[in-house]
Parts: sequence; structure tokens; C-alpha cells
Amino acid sequence: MTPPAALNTPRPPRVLIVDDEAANLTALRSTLSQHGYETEGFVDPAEALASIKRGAFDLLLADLMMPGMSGVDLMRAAQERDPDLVGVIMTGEGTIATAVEAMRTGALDYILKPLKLSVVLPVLSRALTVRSLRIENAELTRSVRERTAELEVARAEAKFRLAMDAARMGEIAVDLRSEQVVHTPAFAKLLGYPADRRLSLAEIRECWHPEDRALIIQERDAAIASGAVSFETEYRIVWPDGTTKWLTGRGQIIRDASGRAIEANVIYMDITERKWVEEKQNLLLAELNHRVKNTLAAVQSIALLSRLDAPTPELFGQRFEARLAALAGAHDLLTRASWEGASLADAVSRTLAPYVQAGDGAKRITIEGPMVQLSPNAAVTLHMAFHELATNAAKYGALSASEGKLDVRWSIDRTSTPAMVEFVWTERGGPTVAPPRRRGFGLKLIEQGLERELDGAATVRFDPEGVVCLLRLPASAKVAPL
Amino acid sequence: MTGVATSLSGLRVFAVEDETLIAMMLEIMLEELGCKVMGVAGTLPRALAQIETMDIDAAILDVNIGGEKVYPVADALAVRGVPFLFCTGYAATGIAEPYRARIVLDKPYSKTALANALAPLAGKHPER
Repeated sequence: MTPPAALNTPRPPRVLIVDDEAANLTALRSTLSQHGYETEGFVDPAEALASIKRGAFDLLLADLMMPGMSGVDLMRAAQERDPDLVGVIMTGEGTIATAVEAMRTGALDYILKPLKLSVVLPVLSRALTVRSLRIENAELTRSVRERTAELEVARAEAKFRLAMDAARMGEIAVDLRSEQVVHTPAFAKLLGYPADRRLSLAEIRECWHPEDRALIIQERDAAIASGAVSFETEYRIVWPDGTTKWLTGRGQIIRDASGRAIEANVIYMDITERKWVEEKQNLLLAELNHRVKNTLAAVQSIALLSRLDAPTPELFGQRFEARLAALAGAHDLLTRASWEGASLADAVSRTLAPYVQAGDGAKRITIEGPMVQLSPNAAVTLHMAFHELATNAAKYGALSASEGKLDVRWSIDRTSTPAMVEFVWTERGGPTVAPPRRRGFGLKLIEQGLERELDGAATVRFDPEGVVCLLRLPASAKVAPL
Repeated sequence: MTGVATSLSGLRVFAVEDETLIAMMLEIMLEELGCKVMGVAGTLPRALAQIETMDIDAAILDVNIGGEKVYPVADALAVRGVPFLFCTGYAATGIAEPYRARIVLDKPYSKTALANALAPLAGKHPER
């Protein structure tokens, strides 16, 4: 009977025979050699044990009863040294019970003495087959375990990719010596290419924004030269369709033992939107700064002009405060409309609100006209002008007498080009009007504001029966009739 | 200050400023400094038309005029060799590159600051 070839081992099976009876040992070795086994024999179990190391033998054939160490003990010790080793115990008839016990503790089989070849060979052959199966099984188990681990890694990798995709992150690895590039599909998408497109380093460099190119190269070279192992970068790229995008990257530089940079791994993310918000915010801040400073300049102007105008410090204080309040009112109007502007009706109504609300004001004051949208600056100027007219009316004009009437109306003359907003402020029923001795702040503001700022014309008439103010405002971006 | 005021005396100044309140103040400050206010324009077309017909020694340009930049006026003045300065509520960095070397007056400005900004222009005009 031919012994089975162990799996993956096309060599003859190797058997370690241990028997304290030298004659038996010699005979057995000789017989097994003739049947294709390679044998090694010891009469001393301790010496036999010393010869065992992993993979040295396939099978241990040991006599049960030996001085110094029983076959069972030897087998147990041997299997500690080589777990793949299979054991077969040889025993006399009187010790079958012990042999059975031996099998419980790890021996695969037992053979009764005196040995018969017809019994020995099948037992050895079967033991070797079992050994092969055990090894095969162990290998399969290991391979299944490895494959499972691989699958888990792949799954974790897939999850990671999904997260990267969701965060619109692309990954790239560059071999800095060969300039070979490996990147994820998401990276191609970040650069405006289809996900399945594989880009070369040259193609990637083509995407750099021309204005950022020098900086990118400078930063890259600096990171490599500095010995850094990580870096961050932020720059613009241009998509094949011409769109400009902002990318931010966090990278690792892999270096060899001598510190030479050999590979760079970078994760990129599209931050175009964030950049846009930042830019918008900066613009808003600049705009806010501009408005605050212009407003301060306007306050400064009101202070200067009120001072030049006022005959006494008390009057200066009163007028300055009232004008400041009017300026604040104009800003309130604008803030309500997010500084997009205000309507002419709002500017008039807000100025006259205190008088409309007082007593029978609602009956004495008429405000009427179509929708005219004013730019922020025009709204401030007109609001301030109306404030001057209203203050004058309240002090000396129609609003100073209980029977006085104020009529404010405007219309749009569309026959002229550009269309003209014609605004008339008419006071009646107040004390007899005398023209002012000098042209004060209010008048100058109305005339100059209309002429210089709004390209219009203003006429203020001090008719004895009441003040009339005529404003002609050409339609423009600043004064827009709807 | 007397020195500056003297050097500005009679200086023919043109201004572009679209905010009436500020324009009125500027006019008074210039008069107090002894300058002759040749005109104050609140729009770009008016400004461009006025400088065509005026003899001016210096100009003060508000950078932002009704949402537009005053640069066309600056260019027209440069062609005519009229020195000018900018005033702005934006930071000086808000001025376009070709004009960065010009004097910039930050708003709000005092009469002294205005005089100091104008002084270098007063000496520059070829006719003065």
C-alpha cells in the first residue's frame, strides 16, 4: 500500500519511530522504508523529543510503555513542539485501555503488538490522510479568515470612499520620483472631469489657475524641502468648461530613511461656496465701513452747516439734534428695505408722521402720488430735504396754524425723456409768509441736493398765502418711477 | 496752518461728490481755506461735462459716485494735466491699482486734513 502524499508536500512521508526495544525499532524502520516512508528512530524518548521541531516529521509512532517517558507523554510533548504532528501508539494487548486513554489525549490511533504489516500500513496511511485533512482544513480556515478580513477592509474602504464622496473629497497619491499619479473618481470630479477619467500629473497641472500657479509650485517646493510630513494648501483651479473653483488640500509627504520625499498623498475638497460666502462677507464689511464713514461725514456736515446757520448755541443744539433724528429716520427707512432704497411715499410719510398723528393732522395733510423707488442716497437726501420743509412749516407755515393745510402730491410726466417726477409741496391757510432774509441750510440742501445729486431742479416759492416747493426729478437709477 | 491756507488761496477746485450733505460741507471747507469752488458735480456725466469747460487747478474726487467709480473723471483730468486726489469711505485698498499712488483722503475728514491733502496738488499745476 502506498502512503498518501501529504498536501503540498510531494515528498515521502516522514515517520519518527520511538521504541525502547532496539530490535523492534530496526525492524520497523526497515519495513517502512521499503514501503516508501522516510524514517528516523530513537530508543530514548527524550532524545526523540529533542529531534522534533515544526515540520520535521509528519507522524510519530511511539511505543506506549517506555522507561523515563510513556508514549502518551512523549506524544503530548511532541505535539506541543509541532501541532501538525499526528501520533500513533503501539501497545501490547494487555494495555488496550491505556491505548484508548492515549487516543483521548490526542493520539490518532493505536496498533497492537506484535505488529502486523497488514495492520500497520493502513493505520499509518489513514493517520497521514487525517493529518493532511487537518492541515488543509486549517489552511482553509485561515484563508477564509483572511478573506473575511480583506472583505471587511474593502467594506471599510468603500464606506470611507462614500464618506469622501459625500463630502466631495477627492484623494490623490503622487509618486514624486516617477510622477505617476493614482487618484479616486471623486478627484476627477473635483477637477471637472467625469468620475471614470484617469488624469495624468500634466493634465492636473493644466487645471491650476494661471494666477495661482506660481504660488502652488512655491508652496509645494517649500513643503518638500522643509522636511515636513504634512501640509495644507488652498488654491483655484479652472475646470475644462472654464469655471473657476477653489480647492483646499491636506496632504502627507512620505519620506524614505534619508528624508527624501518619495510620495505625496493629498485629500482635496471643493470650498468654492465657502470662498464665495467669505468674499461676500468681506464685501459687506467694506460696504458697511463705507456707509458708516459716509454717515459720519454726513453728521459732520450737519453739525458744521447747523453751526454756520444758527444765531445762538441753543438753536444750534435744537436744530442739530432734530436733523440728526431726521438722518436716523432716513436710515430706519433704508434698514427696513435692507438698504435697497425706499419709496418716495415712505420718505414723505415718515417725515410728516408726527404732524399727521397730532390732533386733526390726518385731515389737514394730504400725501398722494404713484410709486417711485429711491436709491439709498437719494432717499437720505430727499428725507433730509422734507425734514427741512416740514420743520419750516411747523414753525412758520401751514403746520403752525390750526386751520393750515399741507398738500403733498407728485405725478410722473412720461412725455419727456427721461420721464420726469413732478413733486409739489403746497402749504395753505397758515400765517402770511415772508421770504427769508438769507438762504439757510434747508434751502441749500433742497436746491443743491436736487440739482447736483439727482440732476433735477428745485424751486421754493415763499408766496404770501403759503410756501410752495416744486421738484422736478428725472427718472434714473436713483429715482425710479414704477 | 497759515502757510497751508496761504498756499491754497485762490486755488480753483472742482469736486465730485454725490452726497449732498457732504458736498455742502466740502464747499464750505474749501471756501474757508481760501479756495475758489469752481463746481461740485454729483454725477459722472455732469462731472465730465463740467471739466471740459472749466479752468481748474485741482480736483477732489469721491471714489464711489452713485454706485459707479469716478475713474473716468480721473482719467479725463489726467489727460488735461489737472492734479487730483481721491476721498473715500472705503479703505485706501478700495482704490484701483493704476490710481493707488494718488493722495487718498479718508472720510470723514477735517478741514485740516483736507488742506494737507490739497497742499501737494496746489504746487503741481503747471499754470500755478
